[in-house]
Amino acid sequence: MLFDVVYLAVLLFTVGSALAVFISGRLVHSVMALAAAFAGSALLFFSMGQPFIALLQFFVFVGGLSTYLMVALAAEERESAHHKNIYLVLLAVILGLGFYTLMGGTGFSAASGSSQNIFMLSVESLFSGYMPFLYMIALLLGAGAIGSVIVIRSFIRLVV
Amino acid sequence: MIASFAYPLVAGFAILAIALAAVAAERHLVLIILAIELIFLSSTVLLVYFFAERGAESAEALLLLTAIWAVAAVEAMALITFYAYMKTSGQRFDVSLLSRIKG
Repeated sequence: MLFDVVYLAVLLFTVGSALAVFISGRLVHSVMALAAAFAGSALLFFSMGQPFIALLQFFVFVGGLSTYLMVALAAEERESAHHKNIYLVLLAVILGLGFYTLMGGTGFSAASGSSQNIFMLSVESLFSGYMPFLYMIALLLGAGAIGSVIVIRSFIRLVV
Repeated sequence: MIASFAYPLVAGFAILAIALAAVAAERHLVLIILAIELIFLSSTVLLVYFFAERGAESAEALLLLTAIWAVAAVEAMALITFYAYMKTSGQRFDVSLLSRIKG
């Protein structure tokens, strides 16, 4: 019963954050809502019994991509995005409680249910036949990062 | 404990619906980019749900997820940088002009 309530709250939080991306007035706030949606999806992964994917989602998207988007848009807007810190505190409390409840307080007890954890794989089985594919992904990410740096250098030259 | 009701499925399709509606209705380029990010997010949620329910113990899930994450990250980085560059250089980048194509 408690978990059903928590799952429903996570569902509403994630979908509500996705909706808030488009109803908030400022771009920076939209990106904050997107970060909240990413965090909500991490909670969903916990509820599906996939704690490793949840952590990856949290680190890569909330920690990495959302920060990049926020910094880029804040720099582009050239004005401070006024917000109330109380909302951020509330968001942090909701996420913290969600993670704590879904993890069962200690350990990943809630996440180790009847579903198969798809990350219980050995490194050999992952790397054996897919190295070219992983190299392509690494190249794609590297090209994206280097391209962004080149464009930003031209951007700085243009501004200064 | 796993939810009896398919909450992740509902969340995935709800996010997909919101994002598709936003792509169709929004005129701001950045918001369209964010909507595409949400489409990637919904695909990730649905993919993980599918593999978790199927109990598939295979590398394909991780590879598909890695591919989705990589494309989502590169797309966001490239388009936001492009948007900032175009706007700073004074170029017009009005997505609403696309409505002429729609007719």
